Amino acid sequence: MRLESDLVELRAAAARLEGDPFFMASVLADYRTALRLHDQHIAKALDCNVEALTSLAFCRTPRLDDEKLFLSDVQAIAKYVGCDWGELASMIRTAQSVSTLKRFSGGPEDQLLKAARDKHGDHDDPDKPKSRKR
Amino acid sequence: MASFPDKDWCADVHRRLVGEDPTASAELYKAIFSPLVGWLRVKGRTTDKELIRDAATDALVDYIKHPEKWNPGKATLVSYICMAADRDLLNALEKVQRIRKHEVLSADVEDEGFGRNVLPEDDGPADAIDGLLSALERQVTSETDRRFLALMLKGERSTDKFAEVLGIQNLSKQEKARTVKQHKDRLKKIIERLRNRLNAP
Repeated sequence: MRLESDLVELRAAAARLEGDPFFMASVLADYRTALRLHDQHIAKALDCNVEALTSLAFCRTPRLDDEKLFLSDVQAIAKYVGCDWGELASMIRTAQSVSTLKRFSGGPEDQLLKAARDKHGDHDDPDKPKSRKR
Repeated sequence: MASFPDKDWCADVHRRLVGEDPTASAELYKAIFSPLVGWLRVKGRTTDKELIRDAATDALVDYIKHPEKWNPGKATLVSYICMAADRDLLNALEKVQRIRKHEVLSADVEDEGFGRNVLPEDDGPADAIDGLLSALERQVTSETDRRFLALMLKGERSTDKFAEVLGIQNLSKQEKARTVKQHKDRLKKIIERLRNRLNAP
């Protein structure tokens, strides 16, 4: 069994990877920042517990240039973490779109992300039941 | 202290990393990070938890991104990662020492300049510091700003400590860093303006 101090260290290490697109930590950070969500919201959307997000953060970001590889990577990660692969795929695509939009427009984040926030508005309330379950 | 995984486990995770298995990095991290941090602590080069954690992270990230760099004929995977982390830690410690040395030298120069330009020649260094502090006290009136400034003057580097003063502990890491930087920049500008005003003929 892992000690609490080990978990704290692991979470801190995962946070350090948030700027590195190689790791899922960056996808989680982009998604969290763009949609102004807490880890509890994200865990609920992915149908997993908050601790699982640390494992998720250390996973390699799925290969985005090939749909088949993307899906197989997402399913492998979801199986390892114990989350909903469909929601995970959607979250990665959203984070990817937000990141691309920001890169190309350089405009204010609030305006750019309004559409994304509207689309994912149901995440604002972590207690609200999910609208879609795979 | 947690123990390192065995050779067979390492060989398997290495094969998966080379094959771009997206979960291999997570398994490696979760199996090796804690024993690696423990090993670095026992080695005793520093007690700075953040430096140790960063060195362990850097070594693991480097191996995860470039697994082909490891030559199994030369060292076990655990030895390879431990040596890399130890090297990263030594480099980080050297960098910290260089920065501290530079800060001490800069502080000496700034204090000399302030004393020479602002105060009468008879006044000693203690008076110069008092003069600066009084001027700052008049400029910085908010209690939060004063506590924030006190941390800056102490040379505090932890973003979390500054975030605590601002009461923004619950923000995301990025938002905390951004807000703390904004406050630091604002206070630095006040100090800069004050210095320019005091140095004006």
